[in-house]
Amino acid sequence: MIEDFSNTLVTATPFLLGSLWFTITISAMSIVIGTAIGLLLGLASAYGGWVTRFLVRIYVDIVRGIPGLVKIFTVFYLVNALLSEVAGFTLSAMACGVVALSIHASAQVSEMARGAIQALSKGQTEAGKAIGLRFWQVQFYVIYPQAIRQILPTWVTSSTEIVKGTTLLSLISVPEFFITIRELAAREFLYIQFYGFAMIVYFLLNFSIELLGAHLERRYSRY
Amino acid sequence: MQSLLKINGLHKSFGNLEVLKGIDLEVNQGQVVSIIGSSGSGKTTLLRCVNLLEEFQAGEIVIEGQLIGYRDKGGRRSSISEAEKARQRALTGMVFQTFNLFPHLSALGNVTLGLRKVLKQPRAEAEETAAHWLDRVGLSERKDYYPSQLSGGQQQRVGIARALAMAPKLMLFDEATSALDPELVGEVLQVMTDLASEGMTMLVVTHEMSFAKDASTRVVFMNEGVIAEEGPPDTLLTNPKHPRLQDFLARSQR
Repeated sequence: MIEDFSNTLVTATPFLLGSLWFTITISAMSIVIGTAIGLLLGLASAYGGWVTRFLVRIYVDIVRGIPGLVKIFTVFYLVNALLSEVAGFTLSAMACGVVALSIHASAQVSEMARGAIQALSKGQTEAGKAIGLRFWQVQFYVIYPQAIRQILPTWVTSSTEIVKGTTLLSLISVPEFFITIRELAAREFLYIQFYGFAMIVYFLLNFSIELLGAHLERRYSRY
Repeated sequence: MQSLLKINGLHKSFGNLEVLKGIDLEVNQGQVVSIIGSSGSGKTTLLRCVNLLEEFQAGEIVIEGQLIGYRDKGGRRSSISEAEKARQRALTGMVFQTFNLFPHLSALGNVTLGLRKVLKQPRAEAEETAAHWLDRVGLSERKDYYPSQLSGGQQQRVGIARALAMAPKLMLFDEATSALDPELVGEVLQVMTDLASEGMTMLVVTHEMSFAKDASTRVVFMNEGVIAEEGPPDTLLTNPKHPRLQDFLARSQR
């Protein structure tokens, strides 16, 4: 059982590594883009006028209300159809994956950021103003350092969700890690071994995110 | 004696509720003015208008000849930019009842932030200035401590150092000792008294009658959005004329 598996594993290594790289790249890009957009949206809904807040609210509610797989399909089929009509090109499956997962992450980060900013007492902003700091200075030097500490644990959870979400991309034929596992498992009839292996790999991926989060928390939590 | 702060006919409302109903106040350089009164009398709001934490609807605030908060365009008020307001806030320093220290920065960091980002001092110079002010409030040994590691009295003294380091013309104290344990009140009052005797111009909203009596040049009693009585501490506190002030002082006797 183990012998067959290790033999297959050795032969399959290039495919597995290639697809693992896809998974890692898609996850990293989606997390970074989603977080960046989410932080901007969170800022907008914390400080914006009622129109801005309303628009962000709609965005967040819609995105959070649609299941991940449906979002992925929507981007792959609907958005691509629109794009080919209007602009004459379509997004690759991988690009669709990144877009869908980024949107998913952005809605979550936006709410985290808004909550953290609003939870900070008014006194912090006032103390910043009282020493002559301007709006963006108050944001960068007073508000964000505190807000980021607040959202770090939840952000880690949200990011691990993105990694897990990449497995759904197999349904739009993105050559990510899990579909490679499934194909190998089926071809070699070594289901237990390959799925067990996949479990370990995904765990390690997400665990490194957790370690990163813990490191950041320790580094910035000098309260 | 030079007029540092001049307030004329200040009116301020929160929605439909008028909180300041026409305040006239003048503070000369080096004077220490204590503002006393019940909650809701408008004293904190008045202070917060001076450093533009609150907007006001009518009247003028002038600091060292500069019109604060608004521009005068031929008799009509015109608003000014956030950047201009930030610059005007630098004329004053404020000490808050709830300290409002930045928890993610050390005591030194709290004081250097304004020096580096507003006054654009280089790091070494800022740290030297900050260390000097922390020493003035008696906290040089704790400059690397974080607010959570400091007692209330120590935190408030850091707050005072933070405000003083910016070299303001006028210091605003918003019930600086009200949130402190009684044993810690003394150390902060001492810093404030020393500051007063060194000639700092101060506007102090306070419940501490001892400070009002011993350290102020003048006491102002506010009631329901107006200044009801004003005068030197010895006469005003021992011989109040306004009936509300008499009530207030009677109730303040411990």
